[in-house]
Amino acid sequence: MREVQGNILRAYGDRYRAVRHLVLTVDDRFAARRALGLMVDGDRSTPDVTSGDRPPKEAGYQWCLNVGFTFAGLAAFGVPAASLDTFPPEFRDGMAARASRLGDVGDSAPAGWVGGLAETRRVHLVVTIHGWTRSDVDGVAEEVMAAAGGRAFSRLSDETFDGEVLYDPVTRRRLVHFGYADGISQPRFVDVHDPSASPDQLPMAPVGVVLLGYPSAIPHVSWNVPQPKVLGHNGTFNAFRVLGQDVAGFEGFLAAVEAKHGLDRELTAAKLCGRWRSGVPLSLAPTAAQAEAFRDDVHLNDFDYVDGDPDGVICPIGAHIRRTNPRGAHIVQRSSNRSRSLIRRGIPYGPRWDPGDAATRDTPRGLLGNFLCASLAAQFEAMQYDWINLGFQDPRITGTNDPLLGANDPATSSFTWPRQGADPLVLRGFKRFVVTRGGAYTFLPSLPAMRWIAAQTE
Amino acid sequence: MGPASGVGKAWARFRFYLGNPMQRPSVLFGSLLTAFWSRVEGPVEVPRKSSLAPSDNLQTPMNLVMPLKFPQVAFRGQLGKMLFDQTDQILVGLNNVGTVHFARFDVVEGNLCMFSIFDGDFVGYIRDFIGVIGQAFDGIMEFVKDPAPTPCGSNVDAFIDWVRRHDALQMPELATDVTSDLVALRRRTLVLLHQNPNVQMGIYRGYPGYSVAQIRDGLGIGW
Ligand code: HEM
Repeated sequence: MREVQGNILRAYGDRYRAVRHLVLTVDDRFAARRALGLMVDGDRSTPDVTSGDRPPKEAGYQWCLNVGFTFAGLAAFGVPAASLDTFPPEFRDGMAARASRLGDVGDSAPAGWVGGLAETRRVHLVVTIHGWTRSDVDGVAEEVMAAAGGRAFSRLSDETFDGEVLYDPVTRRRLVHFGYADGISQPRFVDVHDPSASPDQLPMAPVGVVLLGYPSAIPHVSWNVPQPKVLGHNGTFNAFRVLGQDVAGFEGFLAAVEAKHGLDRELTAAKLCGRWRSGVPLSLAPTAAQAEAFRDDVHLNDFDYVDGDPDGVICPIGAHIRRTNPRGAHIVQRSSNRSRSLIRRGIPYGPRWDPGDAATRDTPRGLLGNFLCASLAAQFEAMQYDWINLGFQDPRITGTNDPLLGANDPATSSFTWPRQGADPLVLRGFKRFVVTRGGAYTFLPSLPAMRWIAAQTE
Repeated sequence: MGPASGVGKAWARFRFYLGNPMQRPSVLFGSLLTAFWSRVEGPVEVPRKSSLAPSDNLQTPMNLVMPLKFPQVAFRGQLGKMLFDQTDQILVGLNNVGTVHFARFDVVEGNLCMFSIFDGDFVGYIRDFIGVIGQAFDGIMEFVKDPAPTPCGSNVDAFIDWVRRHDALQMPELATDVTSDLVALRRRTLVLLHQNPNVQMGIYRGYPGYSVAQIRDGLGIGW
């Protein structure tokens, strides 16, 4: 744990409300290595990468730092070609090259990405700073840029990737735009998390779901560890995604369903996601009254779809959380129920949507998402490719996309809402509510690996 | 799309962009010319398309052609026994992959071939089948020339790459996938054939646009 970067196996936690992702290009390899060396020397008087060994809040840290390298970034630091060749193909390609597989087409295509993120060869580092306040983040960001005489790297553009945690004023839960509570369901790891602290029916996951060098969640399969071992071991891959959210469009759709079918907006919102906006899962509270009465925060993730809901009458099969984690439900890819799990670390950007506030109504907003896993191809891409889009996991949703964030087009979109004792309701004509504004595949090396990178001489 | 049109189109297009290479110029001259073009053009690749249309992601063929180490009948006999011993693992495994319409093992002219039709992404398909029948494939690797590194479960990317190289070229259904330069089309097509001795030239689908799970669900036989 001490060698692994922070925020991977355990989240930094709610104290860290502000985030900035610096998207950097290396200007001077030698200066960049010096700057990196300072970030991993264990001295927090200059910005230092946070390790995962203990919660930073306990240590009293006001800020935390993570460093992710793209493939081009590793090359820019002088990592030898023989070593670069040992990285998996999807990481070598970079996210933009994988666009069609990820559903990044039309408005989401790399041609429209912001902040230079589509320039795969020039995006070298994504340095992420979490802080208690915006000014904590600002201070560290300035120091990062000033390291090694300020010659090491520069920002790819003026675009800032700043996020701020949103809280529900009543429940105090963390929210994402669209108004849902988030950060509830995450894989819990053997030997890391105490299963009794968060009782739920999901089996504990092997750390190999996210860290390289350990058995994966698929029997007999282990992912290649980039070589030399010091570079790859205890590292993880990250899909950094800048996801723009059209809240007005989403709320408009809920209103249209209400007008046409007389269905309460909150119920529709719950059916699309699989959780009520309060975070309470449909599976544990199928009606609004039950959700309202649900007070058991500890058991918010203690459910499965196997018992009693095979047809999605309670939680639709096409709902966002059932698509992205079918749990024990019967699915087409029977060997994949648990093998595509991801760690999600996202913080929203942009102000909370308020239709009455003309000043911020059209301000861009969305999610700065990080999806961490040991294999981008087998986990993140597989989930995005044929569970979120296409819906190959269940013949009853095949040919449809995730209603919250799939690559939907009003001409073809549909969402099936199964009902007890009645024909399913099929909602159609909705647009794509989440647009990809950019992203990058990065590798988050262990601390010893970064010392090794900083010590390269090439 | 009607049932027959998919295949009809695939073959018609293929003819369109080849013209009739066997008549003009002569076969011998054509072959020499193609060998020359092949040098000039260098490797021509037809990337596997990935699109968001469900129908483009269903019923994709994979035609693995794996040259056997030895031609002798006794060797083929041993191969047959090995496959036979693994039958249960292979059948259960492919069933658990869940996206396979069919898969067959044929020996053709000194090659072990695995011909299959699957739904979804090529790389995902290979990765999933390594997960469930990887050990059977480790066994197969002992019988083929220039095998992939084993165990394939610990060499996933290398195995995927090996499979890609042993998968017969599928002539794309659209001429523009070969090249959008129509003048160079015929030349490039011949170069492709020159560089890829194993080619799938057309395919017929009796029920285009459906996943294996949709068919099984529709028939009520469980999916
Ligand atoms: C702006 C975009 C997105 C929004 C608004 C969103 C929203 C949500 C919400 C509200 C939840 C339920 C909270 C929880 O269970 O913790 C959730 C869960 C989840 N989301 Fe998303 N999400 C987005 C993007 C994505 C993407 C791109 C992926 C994957 C590639 C993804 C994968 C998941 C997974 C795996 C879960 C947990 C499911 C479970 O374990 O039950 N999400 N998301």
